[in-house]
Amino acid sequence: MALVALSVVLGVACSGTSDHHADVAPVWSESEIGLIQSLSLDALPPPPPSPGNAVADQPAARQLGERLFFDPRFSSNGEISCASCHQSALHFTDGKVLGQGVGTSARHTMSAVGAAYSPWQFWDGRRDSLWAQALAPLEDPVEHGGNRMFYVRLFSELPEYREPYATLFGPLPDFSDPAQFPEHASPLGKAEWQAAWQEMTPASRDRVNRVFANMGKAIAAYERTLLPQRTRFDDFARSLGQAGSQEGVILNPAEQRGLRLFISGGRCIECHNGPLFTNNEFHNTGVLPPEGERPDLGRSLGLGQVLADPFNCLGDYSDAAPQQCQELRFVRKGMTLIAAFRAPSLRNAAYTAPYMHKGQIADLAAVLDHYNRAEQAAIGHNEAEPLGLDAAQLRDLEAFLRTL
Amino acid sequence: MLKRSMSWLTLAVLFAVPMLVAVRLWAEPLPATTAVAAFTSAQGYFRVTYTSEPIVINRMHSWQLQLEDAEGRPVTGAVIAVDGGMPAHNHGLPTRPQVIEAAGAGDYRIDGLRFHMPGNWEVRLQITAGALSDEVVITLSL
Repeated sequence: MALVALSVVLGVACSGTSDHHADVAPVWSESEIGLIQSLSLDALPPPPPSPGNAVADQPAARQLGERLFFDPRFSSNGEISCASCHQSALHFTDGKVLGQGVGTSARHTMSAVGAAYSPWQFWDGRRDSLWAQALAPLEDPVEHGGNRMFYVRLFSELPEYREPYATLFGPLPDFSDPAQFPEHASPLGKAEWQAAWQEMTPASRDRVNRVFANMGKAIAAYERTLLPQRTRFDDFARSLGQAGSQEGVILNPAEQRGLRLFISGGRCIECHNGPLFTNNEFHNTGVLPPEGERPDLGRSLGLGQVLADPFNCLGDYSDAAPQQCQELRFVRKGMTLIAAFRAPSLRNAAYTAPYMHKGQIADLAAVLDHYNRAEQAAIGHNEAEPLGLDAAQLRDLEAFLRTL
Repeated sequence: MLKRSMSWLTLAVLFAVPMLVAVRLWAEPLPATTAVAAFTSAQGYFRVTYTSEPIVINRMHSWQLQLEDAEGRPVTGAVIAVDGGMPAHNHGLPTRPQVIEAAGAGDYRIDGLRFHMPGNWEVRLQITAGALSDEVVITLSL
């Protein structure tokens, strides 16, 4: 009887919301272990197929794409490459509040790590594949700042790209005739580029688009290889339930208590689930615009853009059959998309500050405070609800996030 | 024979195991087992049995539906609209699934289903067949 009473007391001390008062680690139930292991990289399958990109998994495309990714010649000032904002030393982010290309981006740079797993790209999902995503910054006036005509001509003139391209996609068209192919042209960007684009024949425009799309497909093939590294959390998840387990050594009690909050009372796992700690879905969590700025409409604008994108899964430059474009076929519309943003991966969260779509939250403690309070959204409806966690619990949660 | 075994399975599900839904949070490969559950519509006009691969969070998938009337006869030519969400979270489905009629009598398929969170979900089917219209609420815990 005394033993039963003692175990009840210990059970209380080691579970629920009271366990942060003493420096003890949780005792994990079978279902908790299942949830924890669902977050581990051991549960991460290879990247899902990319039906729109026939060369997505070809090593030659990956090599070509890697070269492009780091090549600053593909920008209006010759100084900006994909790697300017997606820096390998910073987990393929830039550590800045807003992306800095030839100008300042409207949004915070997302990490490219694990991006191949997301059906939608960018904070607002305005592209539906990595290859379509890769093309957008090239023509964004504040990122790479150039135009597709300039890029495909430059690309076609460089021997290091010509040969691998021909092997993968067939010979490059001849873009040397200025009557057919002006120096600068694009359906986007400067008025004179758009005017020049309109003067080109449909066949010429198609030829430019085709090469431009294939550049994106090569970059995507490289980006598919950018996967998160194992961390202490993954070792901890693997050790759970194993005989002679070292779990108490791998994560300290505070980190383990934070993990329990993450999968239960903190409700983080609702959106930050799976081995990449994201469901890649769009949520309005009441993140306020920076001081003096109007609210960002997020997914409600991104949806229209992805549906209109000529490089989407259903477009002429996609290698997918229409029935393979399930995300576009079954895409959700409606009011809940207002000011909704894609949940980012929490992998490497401790090293990828600042946070949110405008980089408007400086550190992890402030992020947790934001979710703990869950105040009214500036526009739309905040899906999150106040958590009521105390300061010690928030510290534990932060300690856990730092293990990812 | 297939029909008989289906009915038997439906009964077993109704009386022995109210809901069998195997759930995994994104892991490979899929096991060969399936989830099957039967639900009756609000006014009792229809009964729907759905069959799914084990539901993996964040993965687009389809369900097979078997639609019967109150007497257990297959219902053909029905129009079925899908809605749903997580009642406790006050949000809907992350996708807009669609139902098409399949080859067998009373067979339908829902395409474009995805569940993006663990927790309690509802999938609501608004069924119209002839003069009858009724709603089936399928509940599942992921």
